[in-house]
Amino acid sequence: MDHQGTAEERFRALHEDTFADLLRFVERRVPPDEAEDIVSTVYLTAWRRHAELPEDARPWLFAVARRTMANQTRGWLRRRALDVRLTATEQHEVPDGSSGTAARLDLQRAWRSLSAADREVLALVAFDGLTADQAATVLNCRRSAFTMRLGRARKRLQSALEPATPDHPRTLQELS
Amino acid sequence: MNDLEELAVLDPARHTEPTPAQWTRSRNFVERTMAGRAASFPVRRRWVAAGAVTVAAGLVGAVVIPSLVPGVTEKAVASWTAMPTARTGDQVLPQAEACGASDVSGSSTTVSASDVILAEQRGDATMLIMRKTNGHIVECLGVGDDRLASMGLTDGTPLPPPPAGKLTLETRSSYGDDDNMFSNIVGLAGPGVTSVELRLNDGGTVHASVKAGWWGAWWPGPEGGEGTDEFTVIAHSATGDTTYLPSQLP
Repeated sequence: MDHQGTAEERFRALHEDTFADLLRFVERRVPPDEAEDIVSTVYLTAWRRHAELPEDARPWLFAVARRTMANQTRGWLRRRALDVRLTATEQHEVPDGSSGTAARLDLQRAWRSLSAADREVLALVAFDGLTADQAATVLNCRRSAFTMRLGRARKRLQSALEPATPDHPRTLQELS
Repeated sequence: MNDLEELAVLDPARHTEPTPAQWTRSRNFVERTMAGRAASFPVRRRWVAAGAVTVAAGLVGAVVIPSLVPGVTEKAVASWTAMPTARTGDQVLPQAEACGASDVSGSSTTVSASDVILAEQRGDATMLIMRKTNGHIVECLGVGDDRLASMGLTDGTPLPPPPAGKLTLETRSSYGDDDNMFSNIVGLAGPGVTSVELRLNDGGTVHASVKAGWWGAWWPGPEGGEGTDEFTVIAHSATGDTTYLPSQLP
């Protein structure tokens, strides 16, 4: 097999290994009908720069995807930061009284109360399943910086999930 | 279960897998990419979407084929001018021969100056619209003899011209990334259209070329491929101006 053949086989293998994860990564951040377009652009870029691909290519591809999404959506990014979506059913969720549903609604409310930046660092770990090192690559920052941002985002999420403070009492028990 | 694990229930892509059709499309795209025959899908899909009305009238599926010659895009973008210089078929015959030789919409057996419908120069880059031997009409953009991109516009079936003073949109797109992203737009011009200009929302103006019932322009930037109306198109004629948002262009 010549060098070019080797490069092509490697690239095909890369595609097989990463396509599902990359598509999900993009689908979490742009409308579904745009996701495949973004993913294709990422692989086009990756092939043009395949000599630069690191051994762990998935975070590198995710980083390219973030830049591509920013490029493709630059017009509306002036008005709205690139954000992670919630499940498509969130607007139609009907509480059924179960603790599971209630907890999920609380989680959704807490999530929506966070900044887009907090949601992004949380999503990279909770949704995309990246390690701190990998997530730092995606965001083009140091691992220590990512860890700090993640810690702060988790605290803000916990705060948003906690019951109201005494300054904003909601129950008679808190008044007594 | 920690807080991050709990968050997973909110994941919009939780438990989703690509469909077989998505796998097939992506694998095919990768193969075309490695063969140097693919551009970014956002370009092609937006063109098809933008030209949906004209598909019935014979618009060929728009396909960009970048040559991927290093530095060509950079040269084109770096030397770009907002005002094009019109070129004749004789003046761009070498570029027309290169365009005709490409297999986009079929290779031409011979190329003559009269095959060139519209040609313009912006800095180092030449853009031309020409008819191939099989009657298909294609657009090519390149620097010198380096073909940058080629795209099928029609399969040769005559397209109905727009009314006097009006325009149609056949395709719009953007290609590339970062500082080397450029946009492209091509359409038909009705009788009496003397000039066409694009006013970008960021304040820039791009003067399009108009000739033989066609108009076209390219410029550095992403606007052409964006689904939103990032610019306006103004058709000038002796009877007045007509202003369009891209989404309004028929």
